Amino acid sequence: MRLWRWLHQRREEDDLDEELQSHLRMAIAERRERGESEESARAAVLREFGNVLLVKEVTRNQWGSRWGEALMRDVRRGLRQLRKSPAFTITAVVMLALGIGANTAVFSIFNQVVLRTLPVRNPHQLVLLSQKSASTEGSWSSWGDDTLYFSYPAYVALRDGNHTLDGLAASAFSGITLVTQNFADNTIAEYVTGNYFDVLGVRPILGRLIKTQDDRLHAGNPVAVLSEDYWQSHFGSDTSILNRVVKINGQSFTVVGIVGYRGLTGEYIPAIFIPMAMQHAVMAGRDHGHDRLTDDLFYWINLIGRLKPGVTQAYAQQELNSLWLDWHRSAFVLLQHHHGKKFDREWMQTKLSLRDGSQGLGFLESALGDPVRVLFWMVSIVLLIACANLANLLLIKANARQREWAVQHALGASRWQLCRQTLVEGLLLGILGSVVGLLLGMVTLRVILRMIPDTYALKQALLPGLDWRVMIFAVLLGITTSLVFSLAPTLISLQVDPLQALHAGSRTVIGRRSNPLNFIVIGEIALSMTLLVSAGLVAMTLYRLRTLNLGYTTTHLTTFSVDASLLNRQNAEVKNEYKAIETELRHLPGVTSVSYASIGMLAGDESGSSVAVRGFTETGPSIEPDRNWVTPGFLPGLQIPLLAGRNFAEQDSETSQKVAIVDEDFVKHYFHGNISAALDGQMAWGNGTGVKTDIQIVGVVPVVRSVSLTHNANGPMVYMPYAQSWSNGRSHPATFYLRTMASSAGLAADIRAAVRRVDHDLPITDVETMQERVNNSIFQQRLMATLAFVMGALALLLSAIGLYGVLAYAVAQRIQEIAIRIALGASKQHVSRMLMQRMLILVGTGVLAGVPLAWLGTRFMASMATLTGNATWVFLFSASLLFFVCMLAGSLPTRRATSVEPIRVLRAE
Amino acid sequence: MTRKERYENRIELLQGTLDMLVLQTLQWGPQHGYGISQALRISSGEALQVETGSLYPALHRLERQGWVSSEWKQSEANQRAKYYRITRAGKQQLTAEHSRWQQMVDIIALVMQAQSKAGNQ
Repeated sequence: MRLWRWLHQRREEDDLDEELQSHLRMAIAERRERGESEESARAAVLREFGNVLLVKEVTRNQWGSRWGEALMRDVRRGLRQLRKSPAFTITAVVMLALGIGANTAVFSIFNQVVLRTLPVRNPHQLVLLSQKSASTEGSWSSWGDDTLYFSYPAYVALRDGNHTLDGLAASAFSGITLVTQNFADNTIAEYVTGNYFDVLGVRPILGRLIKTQDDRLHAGNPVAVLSEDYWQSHFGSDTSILNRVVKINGQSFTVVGIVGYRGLTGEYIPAIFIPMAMQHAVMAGRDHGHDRLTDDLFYWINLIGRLKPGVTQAYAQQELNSLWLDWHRSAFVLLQHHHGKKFDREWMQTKLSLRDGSQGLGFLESALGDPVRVLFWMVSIVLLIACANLANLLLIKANARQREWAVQHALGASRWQLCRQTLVEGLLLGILGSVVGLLLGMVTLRVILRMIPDTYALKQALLPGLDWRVMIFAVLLGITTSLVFSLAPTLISLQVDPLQALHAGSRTVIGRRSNPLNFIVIGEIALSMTLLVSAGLVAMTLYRLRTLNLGYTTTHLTTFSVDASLLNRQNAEVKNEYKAIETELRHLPGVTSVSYASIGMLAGDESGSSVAVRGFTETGPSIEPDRNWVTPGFLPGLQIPLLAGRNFAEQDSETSQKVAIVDEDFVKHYFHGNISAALDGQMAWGNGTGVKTDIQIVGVVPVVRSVSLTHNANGPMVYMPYAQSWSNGRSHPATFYLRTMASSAGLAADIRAAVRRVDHDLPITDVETMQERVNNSIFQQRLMATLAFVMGALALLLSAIGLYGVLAYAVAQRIQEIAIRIALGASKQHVSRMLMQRMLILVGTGVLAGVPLAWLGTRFMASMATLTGNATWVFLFSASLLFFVCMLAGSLPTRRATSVEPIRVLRAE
Repeated sequence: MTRKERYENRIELLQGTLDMLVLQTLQWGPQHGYGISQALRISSGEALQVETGSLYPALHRLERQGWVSSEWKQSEANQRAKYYRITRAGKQQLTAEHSRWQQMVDIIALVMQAQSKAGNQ
């Protein structure tokens, strides 16, 4: 700033200098032409010209003071003021930076989760299609949930029939195994239709994208486009990747392009895009001859379209709905004709609707939207408290500077100049706070993102950078807050009355006006109470989750997943591979037992369908038990106790009697809780009269938390021997569990090596101890609790500082009064009681005012996140904590007041 | 602050006519400071000797007010000099000031004539 000003002035200065010199030169030259000598000409000219320095001086005066210079002067004076009281400046900037930093970090997440649109051409023209079908429960008929999934034939009908869309594209996500010469990786592919990139308006970074010619039904082109992120992280941004061949589930694909686009923001971030027509080739190992692309009833793709310019969403919805009903009707007729399938009339009751597609599928919003809104709300309160504190500080400062201002006013400074001065000071604090806050925000954001476990898909979805929106947000925040907190001092500066201020001598005149200070402190305490209660409830919720009885042990247990079924292999190969891995792992040092299951525990996955149980007729709504194929070592390995019957054994093979172990919920539902009846029972998957109940129930186990910690309503559970899973012609993934002697350090590397020895192309995912898995599965709650805790602590600290400031000021103001009281015989207890009383009133009013506020806050939070915990205790605890900390902060000024020596104070007067 | 403003006002009053004369001179074309002072001297029949201490402040003031613009050019004598040129706003200002001045002269003349008549009687 100063340098720029200096340079600018320098240039004008040089300019003037040269101008005057040229004047002298021309005058001399003219005299020389008239025949004068060099010397006399110069002397005459200089005499004529007068004092060069003086001329410069008067000329320079004409440059005058531009408003920019006046501002610079104010800024310089402001900086001088801030430098003069470094303690105040540092306190103010740190408070502001904490507030702005926390807000910036949370806003950055808010921006990415709630505000971000797809990085495509005109995202607001995009619409996402959803359908609803009528569901009948008893005599009550209602519309069921929206689903965003459609079948491929329905897509074709809608795409080709409509006149309101500038293209309709479809996509679906799928977990795949990608194998190159250098690595094997389990990752996500997005199947896209040939018009997908055209409809969205996305351009490649390198090469080309998928075109309509690549996506002909049953004649797809084996080409693939890599996402930029994946290209950077797995191929080191190597441009020679173009036209190279990679294997997706064993199928060769040619990489034709790179795109800087992260998919439709579904639950997964795709690494690679492939033509939808290639779906069958990729998933042959899983789909077993089922052709999704011609199945009218298989709903698996998302549809996204672009409205033609000028077409309203309502109009397009009307057109698409009539197409949708036509297609539904003809599909219905065809299905009845060809397959003799019976459909209830329900199937015909369906409607289609359009929704805003600018955020794609908006998974981030649905997964994190509410917690982020809660955080945003909390962090704004922290900023508000910081602001209130600053306002208080500045107010106190303004009171102290009344005299100074009065003198300035008397010496000719206008009120406007004084007011401008306080505003500039506030703005300087605001700017300093924003800059430091922005840096703090970047660090905070990184810390927050580091708390998200690597295995979680959100980790990839959230970016650590601060984009322009966040920058603008921080700057606006700084300016707004500085205006808010300098409002009060500005008003005071406008009221300056020189006579009164000067007459009042050393006593400040604002004593009576300390009411705003009290109000601000009460408000701060009330807001802190709200935050503390919210933080307390979040912490209680987390505590409940962590102390939850899972029904199995998590110590000394390491887990990881593989999926050989994705590699397009024969069942026998997959079976042998899992067996070989199990054998290899058994020989690792420190491993005591190895087992595996088709569904991982706490992975959020479940797989189930309806069952038939001999002698049981469903009376209520049908339920779908979950199923998990497990090896005999599974139940003992996780220490799930058998309540009755027997565990699986090696004898339970593909050819022997089919067996199952069920949990207590299953027994409760199908056998009225009678365990011995259950042990005699037979069941089968599927329902209807044609199902043969040929699975013998051989054991009963307790209910365990298998899907996730927060999801407590998983249905009844059925375990079956992994060895019998092959009989239906399908193969499954496998999640392994290794029980170890003590610490499992270094085990991860051993596991990877062991699996690689068996199959070099088989990628491993989610290697972690079971305890890490538990922690990771509730990371969202942990993150929330940590942040809520930090904000609660911040609020508490700020309020304590605020209270301290106000009381210290009050004591300083009343020091003479106190001295006189003591001199007249008041005891120290009396003085401290007097101050304590005031403090109690302040804190008590704040806490009381905070109760309804906190109650509102918890209601608001409960509407967005599940909270468990005893609210009364949390309220009591927060109130006493607040009371304790505030009293502690207030006791310092009280002590100073009681140690007053009357003689010294009164003499200083 | 206030004192400074008063000081500026004083300059303004004294220099009012000089500004007009400078603008008038620049009507004939762009000119540098020395040229202007020479032109004023010659056109006033050597009667008017403008001091550089008044001329340059006037020029810089006129430039700040946007009535003249300046640029560095090569003079006839192949010297680098700062040339001032009257702007459109300057021309308007000149017209306004000219008529104001004319009015002033007329009024003063009226007063002086009346007084001299009275004195003669």
